[in-house]
Amino acid sequence: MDTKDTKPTAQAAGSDDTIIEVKGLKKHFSTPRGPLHAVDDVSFKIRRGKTMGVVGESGCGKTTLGRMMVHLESSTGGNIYFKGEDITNFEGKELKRIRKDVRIIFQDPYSSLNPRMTIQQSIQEPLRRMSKRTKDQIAIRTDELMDMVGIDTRLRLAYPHELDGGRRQRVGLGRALAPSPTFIVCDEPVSALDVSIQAQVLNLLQDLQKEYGITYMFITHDLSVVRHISDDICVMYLGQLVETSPSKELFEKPLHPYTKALLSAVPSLDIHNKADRIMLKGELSSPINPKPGCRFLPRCPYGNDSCKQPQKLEEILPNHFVACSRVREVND
Amino acid sequence: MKRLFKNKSAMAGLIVLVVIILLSLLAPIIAPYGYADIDIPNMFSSPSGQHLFGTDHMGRDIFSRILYGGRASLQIGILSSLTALVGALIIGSVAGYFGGTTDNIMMRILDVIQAMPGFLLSVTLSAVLGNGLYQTIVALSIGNLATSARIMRGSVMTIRKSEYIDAATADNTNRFDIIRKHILPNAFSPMIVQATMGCARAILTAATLSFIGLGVQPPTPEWGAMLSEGRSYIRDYPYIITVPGIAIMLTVLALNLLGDGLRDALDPKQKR
Amino acid sequence: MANEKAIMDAPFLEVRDLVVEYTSDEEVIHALNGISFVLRKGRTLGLAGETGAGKTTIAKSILRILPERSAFIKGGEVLLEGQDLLKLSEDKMQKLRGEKIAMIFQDPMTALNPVLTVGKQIAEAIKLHYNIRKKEAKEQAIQMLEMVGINGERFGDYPHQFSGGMKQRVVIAMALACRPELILADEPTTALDVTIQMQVLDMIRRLRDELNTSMILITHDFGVVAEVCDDVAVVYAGEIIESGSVEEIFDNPSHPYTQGLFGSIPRIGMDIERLSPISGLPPNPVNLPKGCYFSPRCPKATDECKGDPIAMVELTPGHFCRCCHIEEGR
Repeated sequence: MDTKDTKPTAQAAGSDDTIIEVKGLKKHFSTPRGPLHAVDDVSFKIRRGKTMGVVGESGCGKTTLGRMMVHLESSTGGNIYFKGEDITNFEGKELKRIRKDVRIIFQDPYSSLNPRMTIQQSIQEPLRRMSKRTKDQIAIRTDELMDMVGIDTRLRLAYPHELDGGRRQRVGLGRALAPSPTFIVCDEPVSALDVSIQAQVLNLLQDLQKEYGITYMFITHDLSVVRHISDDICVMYLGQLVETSPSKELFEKPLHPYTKALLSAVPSLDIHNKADRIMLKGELSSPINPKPGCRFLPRCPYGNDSCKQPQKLEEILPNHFVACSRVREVND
Repeated sequence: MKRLFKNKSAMAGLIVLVVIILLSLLAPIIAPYGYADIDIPNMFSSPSGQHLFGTDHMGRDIFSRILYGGRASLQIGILSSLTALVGALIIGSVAGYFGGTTDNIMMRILDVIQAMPGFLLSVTLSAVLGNGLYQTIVALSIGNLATSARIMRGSVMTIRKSEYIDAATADNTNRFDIIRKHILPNAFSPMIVQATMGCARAILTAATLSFIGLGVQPPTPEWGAMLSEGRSYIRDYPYIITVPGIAIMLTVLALNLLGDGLRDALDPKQKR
Repeated sequence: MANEKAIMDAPFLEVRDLVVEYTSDEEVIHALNGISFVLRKGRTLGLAGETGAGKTTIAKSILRILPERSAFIKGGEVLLEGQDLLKLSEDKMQKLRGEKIAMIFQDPMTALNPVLTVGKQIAEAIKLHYNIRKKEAKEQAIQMLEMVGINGERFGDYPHQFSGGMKQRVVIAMALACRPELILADEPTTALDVTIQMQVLDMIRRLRDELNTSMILITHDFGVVAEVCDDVAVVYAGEIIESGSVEEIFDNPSHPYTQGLFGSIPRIGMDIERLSPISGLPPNPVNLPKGCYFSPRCPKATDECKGDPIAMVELTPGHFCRCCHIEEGR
């Protein structure tokens, strides 16, 4: 399906502020049983120096989306604009240029570092590959980076297995920061860490953003974390973008039925105010050869026939976009 | 490496191996007699000052034959496992990393090779290629290569899914550098162990081949051939067969201990 | 008369001074260092803490399924209705497992046997403990499936045909099949998506209430504790450092570690600029610090904390805390 048509892009305030724009982005994998629609027709904008949270449950496509941003996956359709340039199909020299500026940190602290390389070597790799510094310059920059992410420089020659999860994530962050990027995709960077270490890493990310103006795409399934760290949020379900808005507003006024159910499902620490839970029935439908229309329909408490039509992202409130044909009835 | 030195059995294995290799290398200097020096009047003499391990049915000095025999056995073992190792590293990483049709073709070829039981394969190849040292090395490399390549491919396929490979891609590393710098070093240690075990297996198989009349044959001394020759005299002059037997056993044991130790030492994830 | 009352008041499960060590590579890992707590019948106790605190070890010690050669129960008692489980023979323990005490493990992927149908696995659990015919066991198994919200017709399906959430329900069905009086649930919903987690927690709550089962729920997620538990014990470095009812602990966390944990958690309802993480890392269980195990990381630590082991203090009835610098409220 083509999306050159009139679908408005989800917009966060101040379009001259936009550093990333995604339009109708698609990723379909071919499987023996048919095309798997991992990411389908996703459009949004990310503001410079801000954090866009991407949230959703398993199979929603958020990780695939993140990988597409850094060209670890190719796109099947649609466009990615970075600083105004269409980087969707970049290769060779152009890709190399972009790779310095658009970086990624990974979820698993145990498999994101080469076990046979010292942390110094891991952090230096991008510098050696993508910049023309001398050995000495690289060594200085490496120490600088270790300081930035809060690792004792005496641990230069340590191997990953000698460090705990939190430190390993910091190394990953140091590696991502090495070429001084403006945009970093954070793919569930704290999900595998204990709560007290999570907090340390989240604070670090915030500090670095304040100091260097880095833009983040923060992918996670944890709603409390996304609330805390994001300025804007995209909610995904089975490859589709169902709702996007500034962070605070999403939690105060969720408009899409899935978002409402998702928020109500988070176990609350507030023991005195037990809110009503929206219980969803059933399980996720298959992303292979999906029927047109809203993929949340089988589980939606409000669904009807109109939902079988392709849903359009509509701006219901300022900067608050929802893809639900029944959004008004649902929220009355 | 330090861990290897701490491992007593591995060190014992290494020392024994080094001694055996040295003795074989220095055979021309140390051996008191030529390996083919026939001395009928003195045949079947027991171990003595003149003949350290005695003489065989042709009066040849067993000690000298052991030393020279070691050269053949060790050459076969080391060269065939090295060849297999290099071949396996290349085939395994290409097949495992690129996948798809390349992988498919390579694996089907290996399937054909592995369809025959290992020993039978060696026998067949040896028969086809004929007797001789280098023919035997080739025959033994092929079977070993097939198994090792499979193992390598498996490691590579697992490693390829790791996030640090993604990180290397995001660093704009080209595919060959990824294989060279990230995949090979991490897939290497199981292969080293494969190689030492393969060496031990090759020595045993070579001995067996010689025993049944294939592989290396007299007058070239080879431990297995010596076993074969000494078969008939096992009751009356047991040293003719036991000495080469012990030599084989010691070498294989040393290689196995060393291999085990290497595997433990090269595992970066072990705590110490 | 007095005897009856004593029995009624006696806790359903009482753990006293449990000490467990693991040995690995000639080193001794001090996993549990004097765990004591009480669980009353029909109540749910949350064992909360981070990785490595010892929570799973506690559950495995109660069930006596610690790895034989590397784990040693060095001391303590586990009294189930007055009977010390640690002193029972293996035969008697086997009778209890599944029938009186059941455990739900964290990963539904590996808890189910992939080559047996789910119905068979549940029925097997039933037949192990009750001498009934195959047909009856099958009927009961179907009943269990329905109870956890799975269509009974799926009796003959294999685990791989179910999603993660449904697999976990099957695991729960297996655990409940013999109507155990005590359930040990080890992070039962951690591997599940949030909306599925809500369904499964709801189901656990419902079944627990219906069957009046007592439960120990191990988790690192305080949200889950708030949803399901009546009481909570916070575990750190093999010790319980604070315990009490959920209301008490959530409203008045008193131990600096508990306070630190609450301070590290981002909350949906609140707008926090910056989280207050706990500095440093948990102690190495091979080499625990002297005195209070939390003292190296504690903002309130003084010399007093680094000397003798700290005793539990009862702050308010039922609210215990192991700290010498008690500060009520936040």
